[in-house]
Amino acid sequence: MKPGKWLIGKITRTLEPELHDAVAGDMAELKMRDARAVCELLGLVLRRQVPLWKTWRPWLALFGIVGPVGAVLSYICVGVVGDLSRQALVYWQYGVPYSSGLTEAQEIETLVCLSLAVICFSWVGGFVLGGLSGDTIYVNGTLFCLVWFGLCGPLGILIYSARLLLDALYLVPLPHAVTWFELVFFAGINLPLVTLLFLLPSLIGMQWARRRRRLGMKGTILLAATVATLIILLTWMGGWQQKALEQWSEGKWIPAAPSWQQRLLPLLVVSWPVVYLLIAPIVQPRKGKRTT
Amino acid sequence: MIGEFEYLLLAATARLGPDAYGAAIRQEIETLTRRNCSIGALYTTLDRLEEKGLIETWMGNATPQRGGRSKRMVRLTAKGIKAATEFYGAVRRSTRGVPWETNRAGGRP
Repeated sequence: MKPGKWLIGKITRTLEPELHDAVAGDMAELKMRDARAVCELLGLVLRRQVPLWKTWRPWLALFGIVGPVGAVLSYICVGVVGDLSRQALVYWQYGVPYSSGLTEAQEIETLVCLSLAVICFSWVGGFVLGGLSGDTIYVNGTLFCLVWFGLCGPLGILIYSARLLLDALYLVPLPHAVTWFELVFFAGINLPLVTLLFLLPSLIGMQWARRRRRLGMKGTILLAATVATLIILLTWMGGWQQKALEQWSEGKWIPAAPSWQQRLLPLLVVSWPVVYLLIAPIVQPRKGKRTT
Repeated sequence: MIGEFEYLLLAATARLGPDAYGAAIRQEIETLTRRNCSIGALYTTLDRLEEKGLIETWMGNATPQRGGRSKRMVRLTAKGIKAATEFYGAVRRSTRGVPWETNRAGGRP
């Protein structure tokens, strides 16, 4: 399939089914060429987007979720994936897990908890983004994916992998020079992981919202309880590293680790969509047509 | 009062009669005005006119020529005819005696 035709197909899919049919049919009948067709379609999509942005909801989605949640979640996700891939690389090369000073159980608990939290926050973020955006989801969703792409997707991974390799070289004295294999290993393991932990749950959340699926009050409360538990656990676990280093150095080295308030803040930023889910039915009790 | 492009669209719909649909209206406007009529402008204006109650639209038959896609058929409503008549009347009244009107009628500039 020609790229132009593929692009036209993708753009027309953002239109309502009837309009999509009428426009695609007109284009076929008028034998419109690729570049002109794409420009005209983009014009139509833009004209139809403008009135949708006259309410506060898509703007809240843009400045409340796409920007802050997308960026902070990317930052957390990159950290989790970095830890996971470092473990995998050291295990692959030496047959033992990488130790950051924590016990093996603590290491596993932290990684599991962080992974679950990223999945959970991503899904909620995507769900509320889809609910708030409505038909502007094509713009907000694309921007959200671009944040993912740049900060923890392919572009972010490229930058992070290079930095992580330098870290690995410094922390774990490798017996040989860094090979292409290691670089490919990092990129190869990180990209599926950030997709699985961040992008996929977000897209599923958006899809749920687009299909107007509801969580219900019980579901929302359960989700809020899960998120609250994860936040408490992660804030508490974040202090383990500092204690481990203090114990390891027998109290001689007290590293400048972030305080519990500093550890809590990014988690609160990415979890505000859950608060929105909780208060939305109270603030707008009669407007039950939207997903959120 | 409707706008110029809205009037062109209503006029094209009236000329085409039962054969008025997206692509046909677009071609009619482009042929008569010798100006480009984009799909964006066409469908946004159709939506606006329908909201104002000046036209009615419905999905018509699919044809092989259109790759099996349906047409968005357009029909003028009584309100639409009235709005177009008012616009045309206003244009005629406001044009009376202006140089280009006098020229067309054979007068001097």
